[in-house]
Amino acid sequence: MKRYIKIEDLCCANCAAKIEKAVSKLEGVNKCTVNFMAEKMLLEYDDSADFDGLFAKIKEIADRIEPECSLSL
Amino acid sequence: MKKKHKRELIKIIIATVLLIAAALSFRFIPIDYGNVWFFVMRICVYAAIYMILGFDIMVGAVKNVFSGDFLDERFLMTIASVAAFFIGEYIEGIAVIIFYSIGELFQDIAVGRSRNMISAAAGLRVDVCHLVTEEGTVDKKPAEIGEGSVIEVRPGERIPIDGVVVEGLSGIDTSSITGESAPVSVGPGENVYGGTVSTDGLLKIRTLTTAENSSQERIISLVEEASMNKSVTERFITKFARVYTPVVVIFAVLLAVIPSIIFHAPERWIRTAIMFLVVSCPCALVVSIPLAFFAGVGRASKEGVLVKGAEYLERLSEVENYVFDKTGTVTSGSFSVRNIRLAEGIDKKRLTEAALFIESGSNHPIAEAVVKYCTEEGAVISDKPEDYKEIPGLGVSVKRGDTLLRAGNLRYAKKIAGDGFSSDGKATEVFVFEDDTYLGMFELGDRVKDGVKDTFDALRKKCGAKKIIMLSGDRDGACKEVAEACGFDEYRSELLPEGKIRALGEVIQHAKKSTVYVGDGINDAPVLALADVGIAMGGVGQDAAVEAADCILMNDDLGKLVRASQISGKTVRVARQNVIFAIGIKLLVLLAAAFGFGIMWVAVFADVGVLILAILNSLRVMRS
Repeated sequence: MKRYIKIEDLCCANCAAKIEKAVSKLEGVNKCTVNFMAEKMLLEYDDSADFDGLFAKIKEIADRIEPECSLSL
Repeated sequence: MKKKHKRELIKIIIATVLLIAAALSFRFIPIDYGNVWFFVMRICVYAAIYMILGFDIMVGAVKNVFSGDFLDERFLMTIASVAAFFIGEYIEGIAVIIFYSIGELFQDIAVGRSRNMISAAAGLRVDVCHLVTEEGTVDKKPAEIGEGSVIEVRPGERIPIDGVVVEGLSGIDTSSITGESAPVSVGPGENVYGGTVSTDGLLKIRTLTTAENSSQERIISLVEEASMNKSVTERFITKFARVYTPVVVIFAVLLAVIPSIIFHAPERWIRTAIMFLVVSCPCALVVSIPLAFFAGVGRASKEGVLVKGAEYLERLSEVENYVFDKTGTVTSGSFSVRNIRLAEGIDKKRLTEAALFIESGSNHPIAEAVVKYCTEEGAVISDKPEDYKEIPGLGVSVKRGDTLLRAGNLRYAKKIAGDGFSSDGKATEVFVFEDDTYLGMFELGDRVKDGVKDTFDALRKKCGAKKIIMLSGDRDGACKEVAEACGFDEYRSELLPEGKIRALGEVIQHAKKSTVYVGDGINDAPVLALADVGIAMGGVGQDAAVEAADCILMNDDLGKLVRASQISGKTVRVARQNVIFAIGIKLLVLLAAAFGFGIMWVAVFADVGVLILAILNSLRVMRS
């Protein structure tokens, strides 16, 4: 499955890269790309994975790395 | 300025004013340095000022310490400022935080601005639309317009939302959405797409959706979402940042410890170390690359070339081979009669009327072309063909009363009238017979698009193309003719789809640089995917093309290939310059700091300065 997540108020491209790296390592996530300029995250995950659960984890990661940013679908 | 930015700015101003006030007070109030309470009070005052800006940063840093990947800029700034406090440089410590906050704010605003300026959205989205109400028109934001509202679109304005015309006539330039370059005229009852431009008339439109779900948003998200593909340069700089920060931090630690032991005077060395920490933030470095590519992708989309990723834009700058499909790509893809040949003793009228009679029942593209030609030549028929039969692979036969009329290809002609017919294989031929009498034949062909040869010359001269190759499923004669007319270096004809893949594979294998394949996107999906950059013709209307291609030429205009290549080249140059600026300036500041020349605010602004330079440089891609 592929899904786009809006990720706003990212102030730093390096943080975007870090979020990307951390989310990629989550179980059930096949690939994660954060586009700093377009403020979007492309998430590719297993069909069997629970998206809501993943989204909560991604929010946690984003909040830790960049407390100012906000995620939305 | 966003709310968040305003709040940050206010905090910065308060902290700065308080810092100046405190610094002046402690300077002019007679100080009893021996008094411990006074000493504690001084620390407390500075610490309080520090916390105005420092608190959030510290909290962020502490949170992240436990995550393993703790070397983020907040951590570095915290350490730098705390270290300054530690050596008694309170003012310096607070200054680090203030400068850092100003830098962040500046960076945030600048990135946001440039994001708006260069995004694909900027071109297609409309800021204001005129809502028709009972009291007249009211200007609103498109997002505030509901489905089913009636809006007014004035001449020259972009239509904000998909809708149906209720009043007015106008020509619509749809090139931004459908790729069709000729204006379409619309009137009441006809649909119009958001993002297209009404050229000459005043239209009233009832919206069929909201701005958010309108056509232009599809294209915007195509460019923005598809550009998840990162350029090689960007991946390099991200990796570089991962190494750069820890290395600079290690240097900072070593600088703080070793010289202090050898030469004593730890304050001087700790100051140098602080400066190292400040410069070790990789942010400006990392953002400078995607910034350039974002500008490049945005620029290209404005010119009608949708590039689906920074990686492809990067590859377009060093293309060695351009490989083209023939039909529909270098030719217009529609058949037309180029020539007729009459049999001896037969006049034109007899041939065209017979042909019109035969072909009027068919909707085959060849039949349509013949019908069109005959009608234009003035042929008329009064009765309808009877007993219409299609003979697969050969032609068609019909009856007019007792007469049998037949039309078909060379094989059919030979079957009817024996040998004696020949073909040079360049054109598609239709031979026409009335009973067994040969009336004549039509030569049909595809037309090479205008300007193809000029485009190829430009690709060779300006874009460094070494070879321009055509791969086609069409007959050899037809391919040869087109190849000669357009100036192809090589061509391969009569290729089945697998053969095209194999042929392109060979080209790619022998190439040192990138290979581009340009096709019309209809039967080309596997070949488009195989090429380093697959470019499809045609607008966003064709989902198959959009899916398979890395890049889409909106107006079917091959000339855009030259522009795409130029934009790509410029983008790559700008990205490289940005890297050199970013790394170069940081290294200079580090060197200066190591030799004791550094000034703290210069160190902080090195980061922002680099970013501003990168933004200004990237905006050059938008202009030119």
